Amino acid sequence: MTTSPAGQTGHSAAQPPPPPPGAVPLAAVPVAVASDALVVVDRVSKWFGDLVAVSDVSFAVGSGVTALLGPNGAGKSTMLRLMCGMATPSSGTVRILGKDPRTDPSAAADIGLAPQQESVFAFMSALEFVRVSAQLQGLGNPEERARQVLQTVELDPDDSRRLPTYSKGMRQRVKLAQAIVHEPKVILLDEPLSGLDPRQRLNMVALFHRLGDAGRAVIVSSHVLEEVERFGSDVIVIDKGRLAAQGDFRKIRSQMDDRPRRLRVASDRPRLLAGALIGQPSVSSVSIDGMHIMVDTTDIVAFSQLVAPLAKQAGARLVEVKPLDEDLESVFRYLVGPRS
Amino acid sequence: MSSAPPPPSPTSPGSATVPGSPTALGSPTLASAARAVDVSATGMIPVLYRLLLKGQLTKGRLVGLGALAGVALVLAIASRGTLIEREQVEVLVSYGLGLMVPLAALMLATPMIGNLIEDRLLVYLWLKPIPRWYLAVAGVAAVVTVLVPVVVLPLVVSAIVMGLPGLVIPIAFAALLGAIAYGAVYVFFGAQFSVGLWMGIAYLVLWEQTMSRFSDGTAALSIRNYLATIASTGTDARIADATRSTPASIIAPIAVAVVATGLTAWALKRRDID
Repeated sequence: MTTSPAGQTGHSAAQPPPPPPGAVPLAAVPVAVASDALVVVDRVSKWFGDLVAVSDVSFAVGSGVTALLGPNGAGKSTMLRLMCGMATPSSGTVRILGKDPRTDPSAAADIGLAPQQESVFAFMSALEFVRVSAQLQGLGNPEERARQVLQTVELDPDDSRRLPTYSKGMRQRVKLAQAIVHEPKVILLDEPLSGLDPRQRLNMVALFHRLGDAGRAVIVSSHVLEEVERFGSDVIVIDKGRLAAQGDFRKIRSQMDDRPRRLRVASDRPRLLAGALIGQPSVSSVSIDGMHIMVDTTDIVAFSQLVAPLAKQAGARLVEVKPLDEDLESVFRYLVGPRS
Repeated sequence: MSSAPPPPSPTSPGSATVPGSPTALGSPTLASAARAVDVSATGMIPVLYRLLLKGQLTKGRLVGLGALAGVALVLAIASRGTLIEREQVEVLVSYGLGLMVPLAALMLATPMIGNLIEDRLLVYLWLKPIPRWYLAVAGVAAVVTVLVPVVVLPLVVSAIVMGLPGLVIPIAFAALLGAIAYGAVYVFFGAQFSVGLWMGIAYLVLWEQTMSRFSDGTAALSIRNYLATIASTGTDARIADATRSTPASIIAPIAVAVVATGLTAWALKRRDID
């Protein structure tokens, strides 16, 4: 996936929409759609009456794990529904391996969806539920496939209990099992880790990576950012129905030129070093927090070349320089949060 | 301001496998299963049919259907020896074909797909590489399967109890055709409208019971009229609603069912799924 805040596929005639209020106003960079992209979303909008749920969103996703992020109500679930053909775009196109999932039912063979809703067929066991999914995908030996995939998600295929008696975490894994039983190329998971205990989460994330490494596009919607960081670094950020950014979140962060980097500098003489840093062109603010100096810099390269000589000159020992806002949570906050 | 993405490395559709990690998740590999795909109607419709059938057989519905059947039997017993043949036939046709069959179909058919939509379960059947008409046909078939023992059979028994042996086969055939036609119409209502049940009641009361009696033209668009005609072939008694030709009475309910099933498939194709 190409890295781009507010990434767009190239369209020379039309101008991209302005960024939503509060989003980082980054230039829309034409993104070449990879010829081997498994999912291509091209200028898709979806509105319900006067409500615009998704607005002019374009991106392409190849194999690997990609996180679909956004605040509640941002349009993530609508985007997932559009990607698997469950909703008709008001404008634009969605292609899954070149097929329109809305009009071509055969595209469903390449799509696996674990929806967010908890509802399941109340009269079925896990094995029956997954087996029916395998049958409706037309697989040979659906029973064996269902058993295998239930074991993959750490469920007992011989558990004859009905699904409503399962815990939320177990139902999540059943939904995941039915989504991957037919080995789809594109796997869409809506909040798949909710209800899982920490060990199960680790195992599920490992499974997502294995699926992604095997050439599948695994698109995971989640609002728990610390979990998302474990998925990998590729993200699609949607805010207020618009694409706020896509790509490697670390690279997205590096492109946010208007957002100073916040660093925590540890020194044995913080006041001396802080004094030396004040007034440097690359430093926009300095504050002391105990033994640490909090520095905002507009030029990380210049600052990194500057800080060690300055510390030496000031007679202070430099212990640590740690970036504080390069994690996903910070990037996400900058992208969708209010401008400070 | 852009960087090269990690190039997707897709494997060929249908042959991709998940790398095995038997110890990591305590499972055999997904790679071992060959993907043999068969989505023919003969393979898929029975799967959908069984699922829909099982999902609709709730205690509440069976009690309601049993009550409708019970009323038919009570009417048959009560009319025996107290009503003349023409009146008995009118009771059987009016209640059995005019009310019991469409009401039972309404109770079963509108939630057949409508409940899947309401409960947000349709996605598990919709997101499959199969034509939408499979689901529509399976839904109608599931409705008819239930209606045969709970509607057709009680009407046959009622005819026997009333002492009208000549009516047994015509009433059974009419009830079966009614189950198919009403079932298909109400499955469509459930798939198309969020208030499918109320639409079905409105259709039954306003059209089948009221408007169809206004003129021969509106009667020609009433399923009930055709069913009454079929029933009339088993008796010399005159039935008020039996005004159509026998061949038309056989073809019309089937045509209604085919059109309604097609409309259900169309509704499933065009509606947004939650």
